[in-house]
Amino acid sequence: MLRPGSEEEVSELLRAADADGRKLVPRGGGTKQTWGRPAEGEPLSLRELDRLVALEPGDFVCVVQAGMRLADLDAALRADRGHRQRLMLDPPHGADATLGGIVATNASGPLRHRYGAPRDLVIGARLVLPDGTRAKTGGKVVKNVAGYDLARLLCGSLGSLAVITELAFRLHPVPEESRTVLLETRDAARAARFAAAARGGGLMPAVLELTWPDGRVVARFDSTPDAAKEQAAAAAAHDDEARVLSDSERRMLGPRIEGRPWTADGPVVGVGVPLARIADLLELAAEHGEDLALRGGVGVGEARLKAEPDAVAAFVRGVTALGGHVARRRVPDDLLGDAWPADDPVVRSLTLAVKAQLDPRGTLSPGRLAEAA
Amino acid sequence: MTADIRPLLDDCVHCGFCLPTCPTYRLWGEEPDSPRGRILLMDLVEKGELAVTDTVVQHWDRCLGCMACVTSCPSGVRYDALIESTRAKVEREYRRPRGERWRRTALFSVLPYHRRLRPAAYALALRLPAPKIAPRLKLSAIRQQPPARTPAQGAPRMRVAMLLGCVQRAFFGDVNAATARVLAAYGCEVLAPRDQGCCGALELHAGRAPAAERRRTALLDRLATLGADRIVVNSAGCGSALKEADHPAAALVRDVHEVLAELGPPVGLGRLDLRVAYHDACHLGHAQGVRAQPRAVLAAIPGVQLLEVPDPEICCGSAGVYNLLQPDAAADLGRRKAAAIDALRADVIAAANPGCLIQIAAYLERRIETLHPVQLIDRALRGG
Amino acid sequence: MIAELERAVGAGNVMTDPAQVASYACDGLTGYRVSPSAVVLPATTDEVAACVRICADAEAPYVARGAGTGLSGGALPVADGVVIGLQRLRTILAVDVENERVTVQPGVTNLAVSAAVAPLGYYYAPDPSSQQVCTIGGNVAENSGGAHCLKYGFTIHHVLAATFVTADGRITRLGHPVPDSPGIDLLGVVVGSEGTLGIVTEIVLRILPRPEAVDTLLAAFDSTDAAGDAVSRIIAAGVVPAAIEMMDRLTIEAAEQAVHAGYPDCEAALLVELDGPEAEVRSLRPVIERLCREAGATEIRRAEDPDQRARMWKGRKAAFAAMGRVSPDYYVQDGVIPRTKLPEVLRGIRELEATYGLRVGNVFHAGDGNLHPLVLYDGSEEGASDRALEVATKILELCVEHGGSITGEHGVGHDKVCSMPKMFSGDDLTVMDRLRAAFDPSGLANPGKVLPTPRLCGEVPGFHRVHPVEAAGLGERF
Repeated sequence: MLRPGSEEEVSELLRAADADGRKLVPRGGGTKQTWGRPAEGEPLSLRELDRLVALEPGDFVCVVQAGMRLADLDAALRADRGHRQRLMLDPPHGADATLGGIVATNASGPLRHRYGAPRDLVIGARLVLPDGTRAKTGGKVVKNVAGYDLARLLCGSLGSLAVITELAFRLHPVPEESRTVLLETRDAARAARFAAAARGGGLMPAVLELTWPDGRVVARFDSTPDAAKEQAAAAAAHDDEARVLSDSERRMLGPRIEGRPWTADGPVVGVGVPLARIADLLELAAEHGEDLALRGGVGVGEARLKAEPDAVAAFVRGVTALGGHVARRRVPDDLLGDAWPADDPVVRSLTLAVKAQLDPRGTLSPGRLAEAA
Repeated sequence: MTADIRPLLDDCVHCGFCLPTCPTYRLWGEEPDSPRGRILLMDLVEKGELAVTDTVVQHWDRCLGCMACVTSCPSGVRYDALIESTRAKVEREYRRPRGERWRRTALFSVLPYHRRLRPAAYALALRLPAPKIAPRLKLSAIRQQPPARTPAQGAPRMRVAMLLGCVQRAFFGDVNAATARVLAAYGCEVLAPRDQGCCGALELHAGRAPAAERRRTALLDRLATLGADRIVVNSAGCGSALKEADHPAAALVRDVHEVLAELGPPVGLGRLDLRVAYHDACHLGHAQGVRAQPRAVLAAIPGVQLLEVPDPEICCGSAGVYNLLQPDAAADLGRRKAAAIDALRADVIAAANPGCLIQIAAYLERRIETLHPVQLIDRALRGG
Repeated sequence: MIAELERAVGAGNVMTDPAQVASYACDGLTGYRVSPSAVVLPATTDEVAACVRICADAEAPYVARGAGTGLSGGALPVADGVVIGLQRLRTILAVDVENERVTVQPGVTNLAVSAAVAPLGYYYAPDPSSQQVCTIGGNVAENSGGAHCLKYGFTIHHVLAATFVTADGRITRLGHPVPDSPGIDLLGVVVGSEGTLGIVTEIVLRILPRPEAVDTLLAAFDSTDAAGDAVSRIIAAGVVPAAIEMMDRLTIEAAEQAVHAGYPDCEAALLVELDGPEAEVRSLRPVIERLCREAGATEIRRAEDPDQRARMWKGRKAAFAAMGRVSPDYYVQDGVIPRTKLPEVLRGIRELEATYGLRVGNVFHAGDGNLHPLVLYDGSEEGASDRALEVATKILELCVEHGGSITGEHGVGHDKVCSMPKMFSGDDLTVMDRLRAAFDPSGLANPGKVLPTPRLCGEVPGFHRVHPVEAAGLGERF
């Protein structure tokens, strides 16, 4: 596999491939190669670009090479005992995923509730175009509106527009204290109500996660010790069976929630619905799905569906009818079905125009943007 | 009046904070009909880069002169002085189309003369056909007037000279009569000489400066001879014009609510169980900065529930003779103001300016009483 | 073309009179004025699209305009071009509190959005100081921030979807009312694109529930260094206030004259606002006070009620416009530096003041290192405005030298186009240019803004713009 060791090498490799008409598919930890439409090409691994380039704790900024694994960045930040900061991302497969891959897929986990998706945490990037052009976008300061926000364009572009070589992220302080509230229920309406209550009346959870159909609502409050305890108690009061967990209970809960819904085989989709339709989504997941992990305060998450084309189609149609969106994350062709909504033609033409400007010869991840369609 | 407006023009930094408070900008969303845009036109004309064309005059004419922009401007731009000076310049240098000239001449040969307004007052009181804007008047009301002298009730605390006005005097004699009674009840000796003329406000705000100055000076000269502690005005437009005069007596001018608030309510103010919507007349709120006193005076009446009108800083569209010269824009603004007031379900609307009361009454859906605040106080004094 | 525009929007909504178009010749940046050939005021998305198509067919450059309060000249017209004013699209179309979103037209003012949802206990978070007059359309174009963006982010974090008119007059929807939708983030690129990629005609905004508690305090310091130190301590302690604003003596004086907010007499003042759950605000307030005192605060005042809080903010928000009271002219800039570099950069600014003999007032979003230096000058003095411009440019250079940005929230517009090469290489700019060409191959959407052109700035080494004629294979560059 192609494994460039520097941005310069990336540029040379790309330029050569572009000139030769060879196709390349960028790859980090290889944990999300199934996201989106399949792309045809030779893998281009960014794993050799794995350094922490800069850490500015006073400014809450870090700069990393795209091939660095999130787990390694976490370890580096934890090792800096003088400053308690973290990159607030907890996407699935976090142990092996690289930051470049996380950004290219815009993948997130429960922390998305408070801290946003990768596109909200990236403040700058370095990239290489197939013609070898090496460029930067954004900077090392959070507040910056100079020029176009190419970093945002790259988030979720699934490696189809450019190869990301370096990323600057905004970090957040690690809170002092944490308290978790758990409600176990199989009643969708009750779960949705509790989720709404846990973030109403001034309560500000850091995490508000629902898992279904096994029926859990988890609200975590990170703050000063007093505030974490008070908020957790206030949230738990909204349902007789909700309770504030002890530390050991919290520790036991962790593994049962982490990594969902990827923890077994089966088609996985990204999903998002309006907040008022969360209960409906839970019902849909119970009917056609095996496992749903949802950020209950945003309405987005992921679902593993029953491995039947009808189930997939019904789920897609159902979510679309709720005014939501669905994304292919691990759905083999034979389960795809035809229920997926078509792209708006103008959006498609703008997407292809952007692609044509950045990758005119279609060297990167061909097929990802359904160019041929 | 300011001769050299250049320093005033330079105060404007083009920030645009005046736009959302300007009634014409709220109506049309067009830059040349905003204070910032009008100042820019004045700036270009003053520099000689733009001639005073029909278009330019039209945008200046469309300004209501409400001075909401003066209140909202963080840079302290004296837009009131700018528009006054500009309107006077237009009257001096620009030749209006004939029809317009005649209309203005006709208006200003009647409005400043209360005697010439009398026939119109009777016509309206007798319900003769009249345009929509015309107020419904009562014969009993238009025949009232305050005596030349009203002694103070109890120990006299102040001697005041009272302005009778023109439209107020001819159409709303009852307001004048109530004003004198109320002032007397609050401890004032009230002098309201019959031989007083117009303050010139309408002409001043329309750019007819020489006539306006003459009238204003004559009026202040007359009222200054009375040895009064204050010159009290119950019409917002008149009060603002008089306060701005370059005349020794100008320092004595007060709106009636300022005096009443200063003196404090007398014993014996009866109860009125009424929901009262108070409307800020532009020349009282924006031009004179008098907002708290009328509210305080009304709130002091037992049983009165004071309601705030939404978007209080936006003019009702009366603006002097604006509703006669720019009827469409005035109608739009009148409808908006009336709708905001209708939504309050008030029993009574109180405003300290005859023009406002006429304008609002013309557009209300529900027929409710439109009064000057002193009329409410008068009622309360007479037993509630 | 004028006749066609009149047919599209109605003759009364097309202005060509020299006096009228002159009033659109600049926005909040008054140093540059260009009268357009026409100003057109459409009232619907279809009319906006029709105007764009008409301009495209006539090859007439066009500039979209909101309230014209921008400070980088983003709405500066192009000579012989058209201004498409969006002021008549000013309706709030839908309020959907259940799903925490509001749909508005671009001419709705920022404050009107919050006002519409306030009775329901919600608000719209991005709060530029001009929020009572600036429009959502303008906010989208500039990716506006405001004092509370330290905690709540910028416009991009609060826009879910938008109806978009492309540079060739087609209508589409970008984004999705539910966040994190799949696909290329075209909306993310359009927000902050300063009107160079197309025009938004409907925007779905995210609204937030009002925080349970708010605490505002005003701290006085003997120097900007001390105030900056307080900011560093607060951030280092892991506290994220909703806002931290700093003003220096000059700006405090001007603001006091304008709004009489009752600010203390001091060299520098910090306005710190905490918000969130009541218990959290309660625990953090003493922490902030202690940190301010440790940094040398001479006085700390707390807002006891909403009126006091409003007055404290009024002083800050009126600061720019109030400068008109202490100087005939001023030039406000907008630069960002890493927070840790604040003392050095402030020192650098003071040196510039001495060198050029001009006073500079400073207002900062201290929490995120966003400076707003106000360079004061008297335009009637020979050469003063040029010197002021030089000082402002040098301040921007200082910012970039220290690892910051030439603009935190005002945008590049016309004003900082020629400073872009200080921050970006030729290759960086080439990539941006290609992105622009993807959206607007003909280069008619707000040309001359954001990216430097040889005509405006001279050649930028390595920055090669592919001319549409070249791209079509009809010509060659030599």
